[in-house]
Amino acid sequence: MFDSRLVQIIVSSLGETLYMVGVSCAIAVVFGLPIGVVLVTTEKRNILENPGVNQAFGAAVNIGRSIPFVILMVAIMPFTRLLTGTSIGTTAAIVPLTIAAVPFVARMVETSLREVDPGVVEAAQAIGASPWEIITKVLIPEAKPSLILGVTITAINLVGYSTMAGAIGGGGLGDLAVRYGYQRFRGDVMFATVIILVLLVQGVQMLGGALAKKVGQRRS
Amino acid sequence: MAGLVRLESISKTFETDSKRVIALREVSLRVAPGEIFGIIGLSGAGKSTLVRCINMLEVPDRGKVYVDGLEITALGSRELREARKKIGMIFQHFNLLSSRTVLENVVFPLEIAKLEKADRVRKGRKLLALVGLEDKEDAYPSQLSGGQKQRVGVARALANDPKVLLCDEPTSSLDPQTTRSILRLLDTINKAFGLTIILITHEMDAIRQICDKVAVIADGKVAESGRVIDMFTSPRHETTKAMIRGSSHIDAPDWAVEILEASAKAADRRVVRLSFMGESTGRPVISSIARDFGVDINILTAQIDHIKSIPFGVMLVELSGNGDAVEKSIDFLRGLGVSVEVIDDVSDLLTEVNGG
Repeated sequence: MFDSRLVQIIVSSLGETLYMVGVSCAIAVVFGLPIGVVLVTTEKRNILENPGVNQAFGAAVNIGRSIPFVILMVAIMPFTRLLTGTSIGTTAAIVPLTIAAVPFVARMVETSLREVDPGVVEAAQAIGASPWEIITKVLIPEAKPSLILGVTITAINLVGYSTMAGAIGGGGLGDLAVRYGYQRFRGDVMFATVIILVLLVQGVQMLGGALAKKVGQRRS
Repeated sequence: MAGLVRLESISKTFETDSKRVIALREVSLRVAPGEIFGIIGLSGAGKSTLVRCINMLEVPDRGKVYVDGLEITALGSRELREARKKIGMIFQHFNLLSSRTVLENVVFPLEIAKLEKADRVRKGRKLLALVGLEDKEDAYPSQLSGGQKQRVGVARALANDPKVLLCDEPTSSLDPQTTRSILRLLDTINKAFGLTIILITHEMDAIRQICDKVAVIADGKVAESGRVIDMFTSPRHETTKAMIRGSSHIDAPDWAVEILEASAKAADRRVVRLSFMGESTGRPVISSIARDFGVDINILTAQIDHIKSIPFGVMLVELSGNGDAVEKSIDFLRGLGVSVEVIDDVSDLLTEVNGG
């Protein structure tokens, strides 16, 4: 079986993966949520109707979404170096991960907010609520369960992306699988990595699902 | 009278890529303070668009809207938001926030109006008591029945002490019994606070139960408007007539078809619809025309109803008699204040029978 040194490496790799996924997911939500809100509210007949802004954001998100992660990672290396001072390692990997996740989160948020009953928005307008109040007190609270599920899916995607980042020196479970499982023919390490990834994804999904259910409880 | 709500030549056209739909053509209306004003029309007639123009949820292409002297159509967005706080609105689908409890929904307008939390809760509880839901404040909308949801909607609409309450088909997704209870609630609020109410509906029954005045909208225009009682006793526009017939169940019964067809051909026989209201409802006019003019009267259907609290009777009768006895008795009835509609084209009634 694994010696204690290997176990330690596996544990620290898992920690690195959690760190990359957690931080990039959090930053992606911070940027992606407002972009998603803009995508919805600037649509035709919506509260901040603005076709120009809508098209510009839509196009930017599409461009971000259409670049494969492996290419994005390499292409933005100068930018990553500018931000973090290096282009290898766990912290450096957070930059491309975040950039890949922002447009993804934006689309998720867009879909979630679009599910909110337009009648409820109309009721808020009739009450005299401002666009900001409608966004913060109606759209986001009403879409909360769906938004939580969106973040869950994003986090799961990021687990996958983070292993790719690992393959080019980003650390984490992907890095481990490549270095031990592939380059040193340690099939058992590869197997352990896969099991941990499966459990991780399962755990994230269950956590997100439970949270969404709790928030959405008693609603129609 | 100035009118609490005044619409002047409101026009609105919806344009999509493929077609243009004219929703409103030069609609003008005046609603007096303290009145319950009904706006009725078939679906697609433009009545919902009309009421949405009052609080600018729908921006009219042309025309002006005044509420309590303020020209709503001339306001900037910030002023419009302030003005909207004094215009309550309830909806067909209630439009409650599913993420908030009943009480949180009711106090939502007060939150927007930046009231202190303690004041909000106090006011919210008072409003819930008013609509009879004081025991439901912690429930979520999904746990309520349709009628209860609409009561929450009413409480929310009243939170900012509005000058007018707009009701957009408030009972259209409710069963008849719940409909009556919601209409009674609106009537009670109107009486208790003198609150002006504008009620959009496609149900003549709703108009009859609580409205003082009514405007009939057809094809984006006001087909006719006036006191509800006048509309029921002497409707002029085809849409009005059709809607009243649909509501008052005073169609010819199947067995009367032959009689009606025979009457239509005979010169000395007439089928007439008599509408009595108020005072004339109590008088024995039928027996007096039989005695004084020697006409035979065959009562086909009859019904007593109420418009608000005024008794209102409708009767479909066949009159027959010698010479001009029938014409004379009709004049006599009109002289007594009974509204008489001579049915020339019996097929009007027959299509109703077959269609209904």
